Amino acid sequence: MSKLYVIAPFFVDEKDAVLMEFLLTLIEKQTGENWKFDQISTADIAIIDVDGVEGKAMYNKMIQQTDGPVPVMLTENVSAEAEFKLFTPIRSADFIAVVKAVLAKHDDLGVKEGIEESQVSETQEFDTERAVKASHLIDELSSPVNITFKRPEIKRLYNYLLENNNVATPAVKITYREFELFVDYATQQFYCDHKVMLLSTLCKADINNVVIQSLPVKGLQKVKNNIIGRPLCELIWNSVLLGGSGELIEKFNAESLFHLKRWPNPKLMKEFPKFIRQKYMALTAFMVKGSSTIADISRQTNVQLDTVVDFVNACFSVGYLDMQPEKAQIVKKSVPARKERNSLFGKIRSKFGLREEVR
Amino acid sequence: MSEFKFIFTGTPGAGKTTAIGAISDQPPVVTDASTTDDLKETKDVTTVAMDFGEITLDEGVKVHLYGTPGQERFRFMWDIIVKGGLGLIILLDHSRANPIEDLDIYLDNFSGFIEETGAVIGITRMDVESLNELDLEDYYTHLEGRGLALPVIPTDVRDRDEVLMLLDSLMAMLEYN
Amino acid sequence: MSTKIKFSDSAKTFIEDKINDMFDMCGDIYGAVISSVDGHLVLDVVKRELPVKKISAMTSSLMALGETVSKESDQGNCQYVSVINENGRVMVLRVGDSLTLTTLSTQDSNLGMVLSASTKATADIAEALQQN
Repeated sequence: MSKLYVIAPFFVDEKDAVLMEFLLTLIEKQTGENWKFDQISTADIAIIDVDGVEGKAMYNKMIQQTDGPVPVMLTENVSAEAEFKLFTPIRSADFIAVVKAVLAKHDDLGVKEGIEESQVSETQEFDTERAVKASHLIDELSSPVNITFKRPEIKRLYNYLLENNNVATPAVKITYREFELFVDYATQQFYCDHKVMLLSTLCKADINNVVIQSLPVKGLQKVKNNIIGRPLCELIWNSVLLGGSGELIEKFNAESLFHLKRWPNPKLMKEFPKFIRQKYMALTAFMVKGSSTIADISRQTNVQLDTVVDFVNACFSVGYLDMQPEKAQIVKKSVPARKERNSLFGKIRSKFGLREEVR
Repeated sequence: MSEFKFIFTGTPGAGKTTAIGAISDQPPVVTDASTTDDLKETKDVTTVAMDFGEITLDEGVKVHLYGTPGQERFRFMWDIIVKGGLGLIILLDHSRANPIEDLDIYLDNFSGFIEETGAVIGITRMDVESLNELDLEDYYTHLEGRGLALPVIPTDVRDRDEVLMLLDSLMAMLEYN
Repeated sequence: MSTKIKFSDSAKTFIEDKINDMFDMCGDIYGAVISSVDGHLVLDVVKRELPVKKISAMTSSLMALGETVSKESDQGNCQYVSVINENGRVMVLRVGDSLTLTTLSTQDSNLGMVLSASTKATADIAEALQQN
């Protein structure tokens, strides 16, 4: 009868987690035992990144416990003392060795599963060399190029605005359900009683269901007398972000490189909730530094693909994208220095309440 | 890394000392002297060496906030203070005659440091009568012309949240540097 | 931008005389710079080529830092700041509320003599300015 072992990662970097999960599949094939990677408190082995405050506290607590998962320390500090430890960046051979060491010392781990012995392949020694070679496959996993993007199926407000954004276009009144707004292309202003965030329904709607009427001069003057005008780019920007749902505009594809030539005016984002602004800030900070594909941006910033697509569309719509991004360098990261710095920044943000839980 | 520090620089009267005071755990240590030139019309005292503020994080980790004098004659202090810094916050007084020219002074003088680390620009005093007709877009356009993509954020340095927005933007930049 | 502190010709002459007295009292002093507390050059009497404008700015920083350190150390007011170098000494003292005197002397100078001569000069100049 085979066993099921569970490994739980705590405070582990996403890329490290992906690597370890992949290596577990190799171990599974070699041993015939089943391995599961899951963040549950009843795991057999807990891999804890102790380079952060929370991870360190959790590790210290787990070490004191007589039951519970066997803690494995994950750290970049090569002089750290622990019975079971793994250093970052993780090497395949080291991961396999530490799992082996834990099993050798704790033979009571794992849960027996109802699988007939005859169905289990002969247990073999870990083939470390083969596993290391196979782990090079992780590079492919890290750089997927065969992403298929959703494409816009209907036209929305932002499509209409971009197509008609010309100073010669006459002013219009746009109505949808209870919402009403006025666009003056000549002066690049829009007029609306509502905060843009509240126009989400209008931004998502099929433009064929939105009423667009030309606005005579007198009517426009009356609007200007009653409502304060705002820059049209603010409406365009927000209508892309509010109306988009990860649909990449036709101009771009998975191989397209994106680089921001300027930092978006923070006024454009002021109406969004903090947790969304934080994502856009991370995307901006990454994209001004160099050129990357959408997949790479998503992976490096830890922001969902759909959000990245919407952000790229928004930047394109207001002219922030560098249309010759191949001239910018690909963003490089220095893992150890960044880790220390990012840990410090995390602490600063925590002190001042600068981060909300990301939904 | 032996010391964690952020540096505030910018035009005289832009609010560097105030900005540091807004987020420092204790009132900052200042090295002011009485103003004896035209600046006297707007302020009685001016920083002649440095401002020093401090933030204490968990486990007693300290982050130091240094403010430089704004005037070019104290350029030697800029070089001293900026050594080993994590990043730069440039505060510009929008009410001055030519804030774009002012911006260039700091971008030129700190160019090496900015390239190695990063910078954000806080535009202060946008609510008072100005000697120029610029708006925020003009700063962005100018930066674009210099091949720089830095955040430019209107800031009331008396408002802690607005100063923190500058710091957060700077940290966001540094995270991908 | 320059300081608004301006001296009349007679005041300038008086100050220069006091500086020359200081040079006579302590022959090792070869330069004196009077600057505003915010780093502008007001007047200088130097026997060598010196970047007096830069020195004015730097010594105002030095004086301000000295005053800050003494305050933070709870040691009262800063009386002077001295910088002892391989090839000489620089001493910075307050003159009244808005000025600073910086003296430059040789490496062999007697610190006590330099301080005594400098202090006398600052006292004389401050008294005269106050009376005017």
